[in-house]
Amino acid sequence: MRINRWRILGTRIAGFLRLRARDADLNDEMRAHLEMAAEENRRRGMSAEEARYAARREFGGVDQVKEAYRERRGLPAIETLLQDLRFGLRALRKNPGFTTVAVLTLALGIGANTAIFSVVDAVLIRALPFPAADRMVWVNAKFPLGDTAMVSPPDFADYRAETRSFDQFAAMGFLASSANLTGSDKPEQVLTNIASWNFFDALGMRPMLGRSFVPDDEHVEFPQVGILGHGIWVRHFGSDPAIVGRKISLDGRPVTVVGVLPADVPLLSEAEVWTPAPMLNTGMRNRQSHFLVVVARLRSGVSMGQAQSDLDAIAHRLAATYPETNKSWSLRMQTLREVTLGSVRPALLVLLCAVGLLLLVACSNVANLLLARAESRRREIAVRGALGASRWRLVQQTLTESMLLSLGGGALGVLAAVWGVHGLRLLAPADLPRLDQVAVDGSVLVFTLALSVITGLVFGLAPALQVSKVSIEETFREAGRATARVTRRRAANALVVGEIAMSLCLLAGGGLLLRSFWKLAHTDTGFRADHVITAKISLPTAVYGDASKRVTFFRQLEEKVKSLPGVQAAGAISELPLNGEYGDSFFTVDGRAYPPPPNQYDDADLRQVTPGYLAAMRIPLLSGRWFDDRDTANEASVIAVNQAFARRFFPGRNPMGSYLRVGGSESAREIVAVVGTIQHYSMGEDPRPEMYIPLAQSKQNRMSLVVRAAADPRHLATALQDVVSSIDKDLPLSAIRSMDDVVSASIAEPRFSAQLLGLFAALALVLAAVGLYGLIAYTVTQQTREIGIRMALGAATRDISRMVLGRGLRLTLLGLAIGLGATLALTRLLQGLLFGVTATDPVTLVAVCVVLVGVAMVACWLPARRAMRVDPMVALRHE
Amino acid sequence: MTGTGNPESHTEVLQGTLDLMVLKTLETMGPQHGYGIARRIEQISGDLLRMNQGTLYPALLRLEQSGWVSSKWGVSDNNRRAKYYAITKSGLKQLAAETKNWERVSGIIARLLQPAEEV
Repeated sequence: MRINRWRILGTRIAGFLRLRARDADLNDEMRAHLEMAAEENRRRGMSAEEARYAARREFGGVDQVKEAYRERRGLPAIETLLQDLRFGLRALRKNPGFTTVAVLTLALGIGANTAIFSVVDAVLIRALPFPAADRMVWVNAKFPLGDTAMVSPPDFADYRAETRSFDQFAAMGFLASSANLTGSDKPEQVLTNIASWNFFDALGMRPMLGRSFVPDDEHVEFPQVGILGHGIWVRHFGSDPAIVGRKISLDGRPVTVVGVLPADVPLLSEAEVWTPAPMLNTGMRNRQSHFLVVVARLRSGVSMGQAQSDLDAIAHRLAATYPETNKSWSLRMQTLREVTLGSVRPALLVLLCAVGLLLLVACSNVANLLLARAESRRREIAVRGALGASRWRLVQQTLTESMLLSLGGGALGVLAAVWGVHGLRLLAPADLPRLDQVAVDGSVLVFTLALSVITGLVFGLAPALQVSKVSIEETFREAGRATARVTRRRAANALVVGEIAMSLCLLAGGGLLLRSFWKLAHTDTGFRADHVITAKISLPTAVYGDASKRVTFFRQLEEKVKSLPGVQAAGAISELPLNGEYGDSFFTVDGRAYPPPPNQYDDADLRQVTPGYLAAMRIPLLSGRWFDDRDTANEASVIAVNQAFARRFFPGRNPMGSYLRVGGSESAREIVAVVGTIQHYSMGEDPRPEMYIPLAQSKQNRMSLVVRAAADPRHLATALQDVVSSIDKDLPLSAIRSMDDVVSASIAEPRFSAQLLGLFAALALVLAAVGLYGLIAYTVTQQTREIGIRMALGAATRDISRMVLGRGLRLTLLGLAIGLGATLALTRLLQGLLFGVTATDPVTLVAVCVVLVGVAMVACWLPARRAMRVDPMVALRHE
Repeated sequence: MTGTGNPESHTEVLQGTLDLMVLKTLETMGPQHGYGIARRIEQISGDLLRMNQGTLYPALLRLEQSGWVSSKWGVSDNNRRAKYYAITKSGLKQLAAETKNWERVSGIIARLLQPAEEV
């Protein structure tokens, strides 16, 4: 049987290649047949004409035989495809209006999907850019209070020495910190980070110049060597190929460059200068200071579970050896993918769903256009059926046309997506991982192609089925038209109802996100960001090692800045709000045991500020007195707390005059002020307890300058740099930004999702409105005669418009009902992205329903107006 | 394959059955043109079987593709150019197999249709 099949294929290919010859063959054969039959009939005594006619009758449909014969011969699939393509192109060209609308609608849907998919592909799908990234894990500490924390350096060293489950067990500082890079002609503030010697090995990366760190690099009190990132090597050192071995100065300390990292390598940190973790430094020897992030590579053949029990065993031993610090502490692993991409996944998936819905709405519209067209092509289709085209062939032909449309839409969509991706990159939050890699590339094009084909099938299906139901006899008898029209109208109604339902889902989602974003953006931050400019400044410890020098510097700076024209207030703070800066300390309220027993201390955010800070940010002073220049290191230690702190730690009591011991400090600080609570980490967060201490009574050397201006604060940028240089010409200012920009950047991600979903919802609304308009307009045209009769019989124009609008309203309300059900189910997906509104927020739902009904009524009103203007006399002559 | 617009006037010819009839005709009559085959089948059936003669051609093509018949152009009795079909060796084998199969099936059906008391 197998041989037989090959043989058939062979003869078919041969047949395909000799098409015309075989056609002629068949014609000859049939002619011979008919002549022989006619001859025999004549011999039986028929007239020549009768004989020919009888022969034909006995033979049956010549064209049907030809068609059946062709389907058996050659490679019918390819033959008919080519034929269908030619025919389809001709049909589309003949109707440029329809083709343009359909292709543009599809290009919109496919283009939007392609653009969003290119983001999803770059951010979520593509493998992490590390060799064997699936074996990389992120290790966090877990402690009894439940939260995750970083790992302390001594613990890290012990785990690294004892674990057997990892090829590499490496660490870096959890935050890059800024340092002054000096020693060349232009001082620059750069981000630096510490790394265990094997950190780059764990990432699977080698420096392009020089060497990586070696174990001995860690056995120091202060880093002696450093590795440069590619960016700073180009920017600051002019791509000097002889940089390795040169000494640079970081915060006044000499460091020898031993290597330069290659370009475009992901490092999990924004640091540009890396130094080895100085394990002998006193700051690195405290088991209670948890500030290392551990990145490890599982040994091959070791499962996550095995590695976990290995880590647990070590944690157990450490807890036994150091019960005071390590009791109940252990390590937990997460895959690197989960950690780096987990936070953006929900938003991107929601956007992907939304854009998918948008495409479905576009598909419904095109399907409706095709249905209307199939209606006007019924006769053509019936004729082709009568001429021997099988139903399957007719369906095939319709699908080919749909495919042409969707592929055309896809091609145009790719162009739209290239443009859209450009826009997305501008819109997207800067911290979206791998944003720079978002592009319309090979895999995205494959996606688009697949999507176009599926799209073509989806919207081509309804019209194709419609075609397959065309009854030849009924079409030729005019009576059949009425029933056919009913089924078509039913399909079209269903499509429009579906569009309205899907648009409602999108509108509700977009509405919820926009409302949530609006609430977020209008959250009271507790400070006034307008007219404020900020900049970072870092005093090198080598030069400003003495605390009094730092205090003097900042006092001078504050005075000089305040005297600049247009400056209303100026101050500085160690951690700028809403800028991802972090700092906290444990403390005890005086009168309780100190130091507190392990795991029983309280913890709150700690900021160091200069006296001018409060006025510059316009944070209200609620009671007591704020710091001033008299709060120096020689005076009594003071502290201010915010209202959230007072409520949390002094419930029902006045904290003023109480004493706090902060961190490892021996001396107690008197609470002299209660100030307003601000949003520090993110907009919309629960109020966090904060403590403020005067810079003059602390050791901080890195500050953010905060300056309030009378007018646009950005004009102050150069003046600020000049003031700093006039005090110390080697000191750079960095990250000069208006506070408005800082606040705005902190809500970039919700803004991104809200804007995009809002855009998709608006597009879907427009498409649905166009669809509804098209349907109602079409029915009005079909009913011109009926309307004419009604008017002739005395119906008022009001009744006519009610009839037309009523139909549109019924469809809209049905779509609304279905859409509301779907919305209630779908918006739950948004839950995690919402702030201040519930996923079923009635205000939003009612608002979007009103918008949708309004738009739908406009879409129906236009054709209704046309119906009202129908002149009965003209209408009755219409058919 | 055999559908026409006139359902009540003819016996449906199943595709496999038509193949079998064509092969049998070619076996008994030797090489024949399409018209000859059609006439022969109609005559044998005593006009009980009325088929659209045209349906024969796709069937002949199918048989040829399967290698059971071969075709070549020749000249008919009254000097007309016509395509002659002949059964091949594998066609003969197929005919034997199909005949046996047909006998078995028709035997089963005949027994099924016998009056109940004879079972």
